[in-house]
Amino acid sequence: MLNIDHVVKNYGGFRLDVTMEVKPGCITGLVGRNGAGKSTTFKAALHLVRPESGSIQIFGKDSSKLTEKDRQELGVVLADSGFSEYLTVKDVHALLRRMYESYDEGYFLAQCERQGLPLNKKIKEFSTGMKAKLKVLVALSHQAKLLILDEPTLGLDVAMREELLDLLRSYMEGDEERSILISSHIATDLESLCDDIYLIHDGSIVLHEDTDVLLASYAVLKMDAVQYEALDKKYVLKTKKEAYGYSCLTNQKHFYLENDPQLVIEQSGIDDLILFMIGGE
Amino acid sequence: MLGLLEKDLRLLKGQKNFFLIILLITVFLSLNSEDNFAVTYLTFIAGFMTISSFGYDDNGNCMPFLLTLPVSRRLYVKSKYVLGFLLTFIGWMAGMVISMVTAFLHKAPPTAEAVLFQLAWVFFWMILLSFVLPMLFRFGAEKGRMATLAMMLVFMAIVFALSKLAEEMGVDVDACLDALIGQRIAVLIAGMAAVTLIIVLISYSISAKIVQKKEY
Repeated sequence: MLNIDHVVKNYGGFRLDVTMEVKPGCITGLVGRNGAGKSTTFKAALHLVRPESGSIQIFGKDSSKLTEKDRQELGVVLADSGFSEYLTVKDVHALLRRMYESYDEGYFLAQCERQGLPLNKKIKEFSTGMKAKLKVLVALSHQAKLLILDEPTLGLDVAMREELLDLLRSYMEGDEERSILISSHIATDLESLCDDIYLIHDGSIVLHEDTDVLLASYAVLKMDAVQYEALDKKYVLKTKKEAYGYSCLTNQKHFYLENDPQLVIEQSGIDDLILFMIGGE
Repeated sequence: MLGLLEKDLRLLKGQKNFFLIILLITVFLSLNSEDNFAVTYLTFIAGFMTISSFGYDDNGNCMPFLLTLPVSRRLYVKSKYVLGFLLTFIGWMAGMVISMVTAFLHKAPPTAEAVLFQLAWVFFWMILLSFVLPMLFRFGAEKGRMATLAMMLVFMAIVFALSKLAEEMGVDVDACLDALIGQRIAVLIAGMAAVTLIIVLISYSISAKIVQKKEY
């Protein structure tokens, strides 16, 4: 569905060098801290910035050669851009109807009502949460095959984030070929949603794993210095010095459960992973 | 492209009270004068509305998102040219109607010179927009607005310099203008339209190149 192959882009001292893939029927997450290169990756994928090398394919075509018809199949949320805030939801509805052949006005209007988005108010008068919801509803309104969502939950509280993620789950149920690429700096958002997750740091992908594997096999081992010396480090990905001794990230939790039952083994969330992968040695 | 045009018109609709006031002032001032004020002023305002439409796209950083919609970059450029010329034409037409009505009320039919000026004015604005639009695409609305004013001053300076030069060289400008007016009006319009069209096409191809290369 989306294939990013060794895409390189330099901005002053920052270098983006990314390879990743979104498969048909899958939700792929891109996590990383602010400034890690998530938005640049999205902009490169959408041909808003031009990579210096590498290739990007959407629907099997070079992303720079997508026709207007191909773009009908894309739904996009950008973190820092959208329709002018001087428009009302009613205006947006009229524009979507004009622009998208498969625009589902019944769905859009019903969802706007359900999410409490007034039709005649200018977007600039909306709260951050309302603006974020509108952006996602716009992306979902026209039966797109691929959603590219950069930080769609930015600025939302936990309840609102969950509502948005539910909207995305319902969208995926509509057609088994549909795919989503979604980024967030709140990794727990993506744990329950994504099939696989890429971790980006300083412009490079430092980890790619199926979410099930991440949650089932990755763990944080906690131990004192003596235990650390004796530890079989075969499946240790990263190590961090702590006040009590050491903590280690492993992708083979079961190995240590069987061989070192005296160790403290904590189920790691994706947030732990981020902290380890970008902070540990 | 209709979607992009509709977006711009819906955004400009937000200023409808401002336009209404401008229109009322124009009508009021036109009733008390016999010159080309309505045509000059309303075409000018309409031309500036095109620049405002760039302001809406720049404000809140809308451009990256607009380019993810089912429109190509070329189409975006084209829509701005169509909008610019459409607004200029509407402003000019409104001005023409007002000046015709006031001429009728004053029982003073417009002179051939005035008609030629009114016709030239709409072509002048299309040419001016052709110079300004590439700058708006390149530098954005804020700098583009300054560029338009600067461009108008440059045009005026060139006209002034040319008339001075003609005077120095002993060319009778009035006689030349009379000779022009003496031509068949259809030939004059066709000439102005042809020159304008060539400039517009060159301008469009420059703008399209600018937007194709730009990163958002």
